[in-house]
Amino acid sequence: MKYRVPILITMIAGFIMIIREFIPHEPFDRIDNWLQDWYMVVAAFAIVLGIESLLHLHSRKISFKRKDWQYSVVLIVSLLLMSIAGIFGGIEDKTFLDMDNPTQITELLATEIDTIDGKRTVAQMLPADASAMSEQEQGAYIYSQLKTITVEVEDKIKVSTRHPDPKRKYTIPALYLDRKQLSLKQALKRQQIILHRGGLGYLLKFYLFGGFQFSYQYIYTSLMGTMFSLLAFFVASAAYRAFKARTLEATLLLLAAFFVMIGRVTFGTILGNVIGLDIPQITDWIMNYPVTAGQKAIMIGIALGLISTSLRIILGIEKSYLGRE
Amino acid sequence: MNLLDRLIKLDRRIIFLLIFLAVGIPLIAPIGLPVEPSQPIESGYDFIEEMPPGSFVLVSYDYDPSARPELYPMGLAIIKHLMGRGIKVVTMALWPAGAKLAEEALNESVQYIKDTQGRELEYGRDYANLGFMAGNQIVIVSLGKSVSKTFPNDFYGTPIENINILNGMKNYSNIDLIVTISAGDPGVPYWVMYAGDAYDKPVIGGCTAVSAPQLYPYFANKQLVSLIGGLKGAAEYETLIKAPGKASKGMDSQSIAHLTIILLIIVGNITFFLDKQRLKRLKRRMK
Amino acid sequence: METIGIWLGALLTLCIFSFLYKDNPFYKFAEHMFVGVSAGYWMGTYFHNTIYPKLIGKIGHFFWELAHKNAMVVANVNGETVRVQGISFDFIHTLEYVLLIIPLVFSVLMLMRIFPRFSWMSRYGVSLMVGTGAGLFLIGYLKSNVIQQVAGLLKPVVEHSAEYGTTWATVGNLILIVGTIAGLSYFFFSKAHKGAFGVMTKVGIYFLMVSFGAAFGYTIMARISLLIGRLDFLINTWLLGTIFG
Repeated sequence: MKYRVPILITMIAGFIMIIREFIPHEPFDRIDNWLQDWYMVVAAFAIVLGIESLLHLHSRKISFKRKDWQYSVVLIVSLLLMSIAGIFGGIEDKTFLDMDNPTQITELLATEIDTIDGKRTVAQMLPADASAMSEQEQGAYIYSQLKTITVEVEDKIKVSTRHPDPKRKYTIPALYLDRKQLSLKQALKRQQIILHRGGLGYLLKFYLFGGFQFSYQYIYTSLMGTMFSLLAFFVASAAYRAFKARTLEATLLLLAAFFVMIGRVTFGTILGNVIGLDIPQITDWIMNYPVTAGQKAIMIGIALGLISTSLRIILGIEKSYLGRE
Repeated sequence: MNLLDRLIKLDRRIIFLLIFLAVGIPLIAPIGLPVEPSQPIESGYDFIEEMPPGSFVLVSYDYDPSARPELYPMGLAIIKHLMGRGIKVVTMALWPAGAKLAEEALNESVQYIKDTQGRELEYGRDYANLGFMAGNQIVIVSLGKSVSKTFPNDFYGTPIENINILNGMKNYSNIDLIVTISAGDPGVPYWVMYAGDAYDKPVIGGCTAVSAPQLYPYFANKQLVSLIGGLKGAAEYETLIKAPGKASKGMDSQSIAHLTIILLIIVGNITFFLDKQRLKRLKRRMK
Repeated sequence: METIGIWLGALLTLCIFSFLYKDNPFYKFAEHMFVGVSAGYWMGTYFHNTIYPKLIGKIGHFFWELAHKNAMVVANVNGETVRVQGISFDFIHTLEYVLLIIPLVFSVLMLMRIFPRFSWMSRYGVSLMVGTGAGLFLIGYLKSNVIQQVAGLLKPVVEHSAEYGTTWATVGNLILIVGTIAGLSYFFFSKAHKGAFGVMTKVGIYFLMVSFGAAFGYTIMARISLLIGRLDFLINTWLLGTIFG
């Protein structure tokens, strides 16, 4: 039971994917799409599992006060802050408009919102007496009336319905027109606009709604880019120490690396002109023929290995992915 | 300790400093070394040059900001080239962050065309951004059946039916070229497998320098029209379209850094051989 | 906020670069922050791009459709827009929603791995992923990485190339064919690498070494490019942009 059912599931899933390749018509391509969707959902939960494992490891480090446990606190705090901001605040880019800033009030008043009768600017939605106020006052007014001013919107939801002709017994696509009253606050949120008046409220809103994008843009990309660029230094140091032409194989490796490094920068052309060789073209030839031969061999080898392993998995011969009892 | 021993035991921090200076100094004081286009990039340029105005090109942004230094200039140069030739560009993304990068590149290119050719390009008529769709290869396969079913709305939430340019782009049969700019998985191999080979569509692949050697067989096999690899590839394309940008500026640093590493390897090998000779002499003396 | 972001990015970049001198608390702090922020990023992204639209959103939509069974909808019949009463779904549509129980159950079973007593349940989720993945990649890789690549080896005996000239192109084709076969033969470990076969595998190793050398060259190119990006950020965006205006 514990082994047989998973192997059966693997077999069925694998065969459906393969059959779809030869019979691309209904129902196989639909089942194939569903299967791939389910695959992605389960894979996403596998990632959740990985994150849980990370949390578990570091919380044990903190509770047992192992070496460098303080950094585990940093890890867990940043993980939780980022996850909360991402899941609850959304991952789209938001615009934060300060209702004490004249330029931003102008920007807000000119923003168009989708309403039931087309697009209207925020300014057009203000009552008559409010439109007569100065822009600064309008900003303060809007902020105080965020939950009161309403906007009527209509969402078109795709559904299906029975064909009106009783003789035709199939369904046709249709639209459900969902008319609803939204407060201005909700309508602006749909356009990814958040209003604030500075201070602590702004910081909290910024964290919850904009924290994810901000951290991604300035923290994640900086750290990731720098981590990878560290490799440039280590590669140079390793090349100095270990890249010696001890054997024929090592010499070939070195020469190929030389030609690629020199040929792919301007110095290749300059050096070539000095020596009398077209180094960039030699580099191109080396890339197109010997290097391609080697890479082709690796590519075909890996593919053959992958195909045979996939076949073994689908046929139930290979069971190692199920782990031990 | 003589020079040879000092070189053998060289503190790696000196090497780090050398690399830092080799990359940093040209960024502050550019030399302006010329960039010579190579065959893999020229074939892509020539292909686009031969496309008639009004053709449809799908550009897929399959990377995130961590690969931006290499891939953003590349995508920008290609879109500038396409727009400059009056070719209709539709961008999409298989990586979540790609959609925003595509938007940035489209806006920059539109401004560039306005500044250089004086033409005003209109969203929806001349170009569009379909945004991100999760699904990796399912998306690629699904586009072959119907673009509108795969992307019911564009990046800004507008229904596809309301976008002019997409009325002419039903599925791959209406698309004349696929360009993919990718930093990994999903990326060039998937586009080659599920669109290029499956639907017989020309594909131009842009990739980071790390992936370029593995993708070379696709180019050598003509499964890819062109393979634009790394910052150098981007700089070469910028040179071909005569619009030098960030990639070309970075090439000075790239050249000097490469030269530094080559010199380090040569010095390393010279010290290795001299040390070997020294050991041999010592052994002979001991005998 | 942008200025704060640039300063934050610059300071964290410098923290990581400090590792080049010596391992230190600033680097450790930045490193742990990187792991935490990355994990949080993937959590947020996967939730909004996969879990919500493909599972929770769909289930929610199904119950919504059931609740609005008798709503008025608008449909296009023979070019005319008509109002029809009632949302109904055909068999396939219903099946699609009912079958959502499969990913839901498998995902929950996947999470059972957290509890050692129930960790065997996660096998079901793993088996679905492995089976789908195996079937998917088998065909794709076979087509593009084997058949097409081998087909690419069918080259003319004499090739006229404007790029390299006839001699070098012909020699190149020969090298391509010999190199690929020799390289592949190296990976065949069921037969001892001796005699004539041994010579072929030796030649194969040489070709593999040449391709590794090229890969090394390209890796250096890529890493230097990333370093250029970071230093460009530090010099142009941070120093010149914020400090020196």
